[in-house]
Amino acid sequence: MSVSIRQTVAALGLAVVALAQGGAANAETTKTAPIAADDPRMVAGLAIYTDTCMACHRATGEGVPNLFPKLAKSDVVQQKNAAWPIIMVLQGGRSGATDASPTGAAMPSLGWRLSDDQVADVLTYIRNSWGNAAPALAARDVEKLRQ
Amino acid sequence: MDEARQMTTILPRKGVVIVGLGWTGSILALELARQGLDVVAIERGPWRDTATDFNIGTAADELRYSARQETLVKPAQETLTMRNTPAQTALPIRSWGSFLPGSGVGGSGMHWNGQTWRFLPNDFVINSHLTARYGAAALPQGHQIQDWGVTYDELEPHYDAFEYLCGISGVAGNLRGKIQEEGNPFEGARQRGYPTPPLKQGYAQDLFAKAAREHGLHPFPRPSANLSTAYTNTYGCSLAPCTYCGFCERFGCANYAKSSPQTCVLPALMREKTFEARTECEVTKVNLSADGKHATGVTYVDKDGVEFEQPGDLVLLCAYALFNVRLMLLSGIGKPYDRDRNEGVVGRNYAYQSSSGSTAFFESARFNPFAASGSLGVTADDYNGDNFDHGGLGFVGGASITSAHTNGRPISYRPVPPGTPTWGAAWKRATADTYQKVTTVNAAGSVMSYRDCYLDLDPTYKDPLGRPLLRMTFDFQDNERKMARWMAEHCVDIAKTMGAKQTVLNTITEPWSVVPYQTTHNTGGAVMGSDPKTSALNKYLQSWDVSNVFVMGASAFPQNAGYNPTGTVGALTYWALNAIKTTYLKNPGPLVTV
Repeated sequence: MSVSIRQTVAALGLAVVALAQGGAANAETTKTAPIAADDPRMVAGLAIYTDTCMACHRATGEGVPNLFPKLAKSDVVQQKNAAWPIIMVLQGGRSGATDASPTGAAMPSLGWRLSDDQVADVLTYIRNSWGNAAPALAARDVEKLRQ
Repeated sequence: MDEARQMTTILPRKGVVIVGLGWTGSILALELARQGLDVVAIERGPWRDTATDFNIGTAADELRYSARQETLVKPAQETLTMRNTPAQTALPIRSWGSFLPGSGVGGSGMHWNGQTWRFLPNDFVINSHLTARYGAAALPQGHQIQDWGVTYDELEPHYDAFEYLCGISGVAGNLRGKIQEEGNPFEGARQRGYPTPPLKQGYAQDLFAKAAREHGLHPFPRPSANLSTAYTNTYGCSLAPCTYCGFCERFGCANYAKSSPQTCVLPALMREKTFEARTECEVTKVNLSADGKHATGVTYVDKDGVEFEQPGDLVLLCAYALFNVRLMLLSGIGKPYDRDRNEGVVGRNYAYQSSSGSTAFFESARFNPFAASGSLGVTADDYNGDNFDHGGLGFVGGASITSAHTNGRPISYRPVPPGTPTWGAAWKRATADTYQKVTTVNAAGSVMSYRDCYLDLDPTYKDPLGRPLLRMTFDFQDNERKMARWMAEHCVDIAKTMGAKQTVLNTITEPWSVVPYQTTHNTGGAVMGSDPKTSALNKYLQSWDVSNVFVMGASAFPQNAGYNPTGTVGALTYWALNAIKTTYLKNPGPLVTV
C-alpha cells in the first residue's frame, strides 16, 4: 500500500515537472507578441472582463489566493488548444477542497449570459493581457464546444 | 397512543441537536463535532451555498432578493402579530417590513450588512453603572434595565475569536489599554488589532470625518465583515476582497467577500463526519421529561409534513432571536412572562434599535452611492452608551453616529428632497438630479427594556401547523424618543458642517410601525442574567429551568445597545461554547446555581 502511494506521488511529481517544462518547451503554447490593446476584439474583451470577470480575477489578472486562479502569465489560459478555458467560461467549474483548505471555491457558469462572440472576445483579451500572448479565439471555437 | 403519535418516526439518538443553521448553529456544530459528538442541525429553510446559489450573474437581483424577499421566512410559514401597547389587539404581519428575519442555511447571517461591533464595557453593567453615576431616579419610568451577568473582560477573548473567524476589517482604538489614534478611543481594551485593515472610504465619509473632528468628535472606520483584503480564517476557510458592489444586506455575496456561515464555517463543517444537516425541516417543539427539567430531544416536520422525533442529549436553540423565544414558549421551557403580574421571564425585555439622523442634500457634490458595501462607513462613538454626560438630558443610552453608503441600488435607492411629488415626471427628474447629491448622517441607538415591551403567544392567530403565533408588544418609549431627537439634532449639525445646502431631521414621531424597513435588530425575550426571576438564561446562555438547553442569539440581550448585534451574538456563542466544552460536557447539569 505504502509503496503504491509513493509511486503515485512520484508519478504526480513527474507530471508537475512535465507540465511546468511543457509550457516553455513544446508547441502547447505559442509565444508571439500579444494582440494590440486597440484591436476591436481586445476592446470588447476588456469591457466583458470588467463586467463579468474582474470582481474575482481582479483588474490585474492576479486572482485571489486560495480562491480565484491567477490568469496573468498563466500557461493554462495561453494554451494553443483553448478548449479548457472555453469550457470553464461556458460551464464554470469547482476547485477541490481539503481539510486544510475546505472552501472549494466555484466559478459559475457564464454560458447562459455570454454569446459565442463574447466568450471568444473575453478569452482573447485574457490570453493577451498582463504579459500573456496567445492566438485570438473566434466564435466558431466556442460554438463547437457549447454543444 | 393517538394516531398522530403513532405516525411519528423516532430517530436514533444524537449527542447534540441544533435548531437552526445560521451563525450560532454552525459555529457550535463545528466545534462540538470536533469534540467527537454526533451533531445534527435541523433547519427550516433550504440549503444555500455560495457556489450553487450566489452566481455572480444573478446574486445582485434586487427584485428577487430585496423586493420579493426570497431568502426570508415566508410569512405564510411563520409570522408574528404586533401591537404597540398591551391594551391593543395585535394583528399579524403579512409582509415583512420593519425587520427581515432570514430563513435557510446561513440564516440572517447570510443576508446581513456585516457591521461587526463590540458593545462597550459599560453596556454589560448598565444598570449598576447608570445607578452609580446618576442615581436610580434617572432611569426611565417603567424600565427593566438590567446587567448582563457577564462582563466585557470575560467576553473579550470570544469577541476576538469571532472577529478572527470573520476576518473583520477595521482599526483598533484600544490595544491592551493603549488608545490608538485611528480607531475608536471609547472601545474596550482589545488583545490585538483587527485581522484585516479597514475598507477604503468614500467622499461622503471623508467629508464626515473632517466635520466630526471640527465638532470635537473622534471618527473612525467602522468594523466590517465585507473584507478589505483576502483572508484565510481559523478554520482554513478563505475570503476574497470586497468589490464594493453594494449588494450586501438582503443578498448573498457572490464573491466570497462577506463573512457569513457560508464563507466562514460551513465549508469546514460539512467535512465533519459526525455532523449532519437536515434542511427544510421545521422543529415544532423541544420535548421535555415528565418533570419538565430535562429536554429529551425535539419534534420536527419535514417539507412533506412527515413528523419525526429526534432524541438528543443536548439541545441548542440557534434560530432567529424571535423564533427562539417562540419555541421556548411553545415547549414550556422557562416561565412565560406575565406583564400584568410582572412575573415570569420568557418573552420579557424585548427590545429593538432606534434610528434617527439627517438626510443631507448638497448643491454640487458627486457622491457615488453605488460604490458601497454593507459596512462601509465612518462612525463616531462620542455619543454612544454612557461615553458622554447624560446629566440634565432627560434620557439614558446613546447611539453610534455614522456616515455611510451601503448601496445605491436601482429600485429602492431613490432619495428626493422634501416637497418632491411622489410620482410622475417631476419625481423622475428629482430622482436623477438627487442621486449623487445626497448622503446621510445616521444614529443607530440603544433601546432600553420596559415592562410594557415583551413577547408572548398570540391568543387568536396560529401558523399552518396550528401553533399560536408569537405576539410582539412594542413601542419606542419617551426615553428613546428623546434620545433619538437629541442624536438627530447633532447629525443635522454635522451634515451642515459637511456642506449640505438642505438638511432633513429624521426622528421617531409616530408609534412604531411594521413598515417601512428600520432594522433587523430584534433583541431580548430570553435574556441572560444572574437572577432567575429576571432572566431566562444564566450567564452561559443555559436555561435556568432545563439545563440541557442553551439558547444562542440576540434573544439573550437584556436590552439593546447603540450598535448592530452580530459581533456580540458571535462573542456570546464562543463564550457559551467554552463553558459547554470545558465544564458542561464533563459534568452535565446547571452551570450556575442560586
